[in-house]
Amino acid sequence: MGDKKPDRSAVPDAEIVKLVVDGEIDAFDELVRRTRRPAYRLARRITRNHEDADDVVQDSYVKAYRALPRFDPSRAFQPWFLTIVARSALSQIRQRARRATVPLDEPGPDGTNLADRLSEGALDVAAKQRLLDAEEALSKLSDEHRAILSLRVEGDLPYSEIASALEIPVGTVMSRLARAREALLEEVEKLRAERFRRPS
Amino acid sequence: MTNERIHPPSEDLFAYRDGELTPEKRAAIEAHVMGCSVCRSLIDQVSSLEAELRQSPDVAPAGYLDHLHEAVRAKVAVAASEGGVEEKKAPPREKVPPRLGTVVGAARDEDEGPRRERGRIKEAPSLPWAAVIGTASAAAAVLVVVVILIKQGPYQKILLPTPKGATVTTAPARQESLVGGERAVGGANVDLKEREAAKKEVAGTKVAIGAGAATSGTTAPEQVAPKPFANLNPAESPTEEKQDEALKDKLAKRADEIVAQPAPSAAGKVQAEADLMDAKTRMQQRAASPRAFADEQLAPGPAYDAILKRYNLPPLWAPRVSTEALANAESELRNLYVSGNAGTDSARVRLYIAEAVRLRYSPGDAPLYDEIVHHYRRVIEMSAPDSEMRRVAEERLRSLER
Repeated sequence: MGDKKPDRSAVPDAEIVKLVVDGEIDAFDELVRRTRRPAYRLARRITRNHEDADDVVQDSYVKAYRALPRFDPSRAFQPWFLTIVARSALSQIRQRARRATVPLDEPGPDGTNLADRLSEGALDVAAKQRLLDAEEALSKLSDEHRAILSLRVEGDLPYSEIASALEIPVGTVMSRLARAREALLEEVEKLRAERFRRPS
Repeated sequence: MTNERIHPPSEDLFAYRDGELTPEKRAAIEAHVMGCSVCRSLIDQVSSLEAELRQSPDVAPAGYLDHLHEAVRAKVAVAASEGGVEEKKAPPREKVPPRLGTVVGAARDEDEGPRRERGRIKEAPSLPWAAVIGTASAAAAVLVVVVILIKQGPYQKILLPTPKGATVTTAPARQESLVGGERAVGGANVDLKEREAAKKEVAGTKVAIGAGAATSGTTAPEQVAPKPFANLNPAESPTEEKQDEALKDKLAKRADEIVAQPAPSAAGKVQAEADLMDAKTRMQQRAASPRAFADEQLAPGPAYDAILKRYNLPPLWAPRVSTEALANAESELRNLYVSGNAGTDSARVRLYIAEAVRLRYSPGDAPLYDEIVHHYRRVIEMSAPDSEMRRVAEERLRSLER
């Protein structure tokens, strides 16, 4: 049954959206396939735990499906969808401001942590450490700073899209993103300084 | 002072790096960056940090993205069966008046997509003139009516005689209007005779209402007290002013009580509405979560069943479950949940996880408390309204001490 589905991997977003709006729900699968990875990464970065990220992404797809008639076909689907994910994720963490999160240095629910996954890759030791530092520094930022940086990093969204996602003016995006980046650099510096003082 | 010390604000440097500056500003910042190693270094550091974050490996559990795809497919199918996309029934958003001080045209609801930069920057905030004019016209009309009524004096002469208690609720409002109107106009021409007549009308109203209620044979006699001054000390012999105020207050109070109290004959309707709301809520809960397919009556799936057998656990958590077995099974239950293979066992797995976390919990541990509550709530959302699983989760949630 699944084999009979047409291959839509080369079909533009706008055409797929039109198919879905016209009632061909199966076409929505292709939009999910194209966006699920960045959507999950963004939700996970903002919520900082798998279960919330899972809830956020699933709910965001339903919201996006319902809102498809308002999608501007002249644009790509992913940035539009990621703004929905970001807003849902922020709403989730506001509702559960003190929800338990999984620290990076402890195994996640599937028994692995980021360092384990890094060890499977081809990065050298120094690059892995830099990456771990960056992740840890990001996780230490405030929700506000983490969210805006995640939108920039995972979504590569222009300021206008970030403004829309966070419901703030573009000027605020500029200043908040700048503060977030400065805070990130500062956290990384702290981590490196700490490691330098206590090598082992 | 050297030129190199005058650095542009970091906002501008990062915006330059992100390609978000206007051509003129970009040229100015670029000229500085080309000659300033400090600013170049700042931009480079941020660029490399963000590049590192981008190449960070996925932290999603193995197989999760496929599971996500299936879950989304199910949820979208439910949404489609409920009416599909929003279509034209959604009102055009452009007609919604923009909020000053916020992003014009930005999405307001969570389910609303982003708006274009074009709309946000170039659209001048425009007032909803039709609404403003309409409101102003309505206010002017109300004002004219009020002035006319005040000038006519005891307009209650026409409105107040109410033979039945059913219209009692309107009387206090009218009296309020009269009294308020008189006070509002202050030194305006208020005919004292008319005022006297109005007060007599007010005093007489209670008799008329009382009489009407007495003949109605319903709860009406209680709706309007036949002795409005019974609570006052007779020795004080209240003045007309006091009588007026007391009656006004009394009537207003009774009117509020009547409005708040459902009529006996409406009891069946109220119950029917409650039932309808309950049914709607259940439908919405089902629709909101396709994982609501979870049913404790179903046989456990193979993965869940294997864990149950390995730790000698029943399909649904119960107080008799060994805490040791539960603690031992926790990591496998979590793995099963996040792998996406729990399927229709999701709610039961989550209930077990909540109980396992609860083993470590002690009051005051806010993060664990939140996690446990979150699990219970998800179980409640996912399970059928009248199921044992839902009952257990609700009971356990209630018994959780913060």
